Amino acid sequence: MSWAAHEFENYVIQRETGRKVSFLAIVLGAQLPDLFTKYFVYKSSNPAHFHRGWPGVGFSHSLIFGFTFAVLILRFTGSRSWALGVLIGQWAHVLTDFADTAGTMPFFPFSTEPVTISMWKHAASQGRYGDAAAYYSSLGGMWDLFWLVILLVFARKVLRPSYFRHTIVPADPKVWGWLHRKLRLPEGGLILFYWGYLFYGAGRMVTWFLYARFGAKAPWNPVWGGPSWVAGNDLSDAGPLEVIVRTSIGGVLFFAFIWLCWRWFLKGWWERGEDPPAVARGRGWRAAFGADDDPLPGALPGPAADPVP
Amino acid sequence: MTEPEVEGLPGPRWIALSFVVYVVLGYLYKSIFLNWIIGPTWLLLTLHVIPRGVRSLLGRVGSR
Repeated sequence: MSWAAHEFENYVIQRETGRKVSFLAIVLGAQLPDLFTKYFVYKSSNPAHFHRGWPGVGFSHSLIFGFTFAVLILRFTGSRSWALGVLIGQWAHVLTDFADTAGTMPFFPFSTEPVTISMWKHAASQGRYGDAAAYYSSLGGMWDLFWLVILLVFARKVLRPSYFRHTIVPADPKVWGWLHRKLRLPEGGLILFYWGYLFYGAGRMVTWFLYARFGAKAPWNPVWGGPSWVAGNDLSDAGPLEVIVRTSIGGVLFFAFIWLCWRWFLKGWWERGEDPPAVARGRGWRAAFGADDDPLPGALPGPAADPVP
Repeated sequence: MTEPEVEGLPGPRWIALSFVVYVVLGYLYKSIFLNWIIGPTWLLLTLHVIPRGVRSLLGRVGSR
């Protein structure tokens, strides 16, 4: 599993989506796979299989899980930016987690074959603290650092107050407006909340790394497939060709299923859906990506403007 | 673009201090601080909610 990468990548994705997708929805989507399962994973007798396999809760790390949530959100709220945000956030989580040895089943239920590049060991069998010590002794910790660097080098503009004012709030004016009114948070308080996931990711990355070094005194072993002191836990003994064939078939069936859903009912729900006034949504890929974060007409920076509705 | 003035946004030193305190407390009390509720709201709590509460309390005491 990945740890702080799931927080950092949200901001990097946000840079690419601009006003077309709600940031809070991306965050929710990125947390969904672990939100209801992580507690039980550590209690399980076979954590890796329970977390990522089938039978187990491995379906939470499949693309169809995010798709289902996104469809329900679109149907019951009509919000395109929330439906897309949850979808993109959850899919990013699935794609990030196939770097560990347990992998993910991206095309469940059409393929239950785990896909993995085995970059570091899934170490939930060590308990929560042992898992943290193993992760921050392996390339997993480097993976977190990689995403933090990507964020700070290529996507740092998303952390600016002006970006929050001109892009984050207009992408989701209802929820930010609700937080502003109900919790009586000024713009500065909202920005602190917006920065919160970056802060949390950086905070727990540093803290668990220090714990691994000085608390658990775990040997630092940032090699492919490490750390060596955790037993291997691959969920499948299939060879690479077998994995490619099964996953390819699963992928074709999965995208055919999505296409059928689109033709059958999803297109209608999408067309009846709503966008915030500031969103200029294109077609195809540009429905979600292609940041358009120029300042809104009339939304001038300065204390006199009230950017939060 | 020139960054706008933002009401209630503390400077980088306060954020850095909050980070150090979070790491120290997180190291000592992992189950309390390193979770999905306290972690993401820590900045808001320590740099906005708690200072506002303290100011409000001091204001009431001062007005008596």
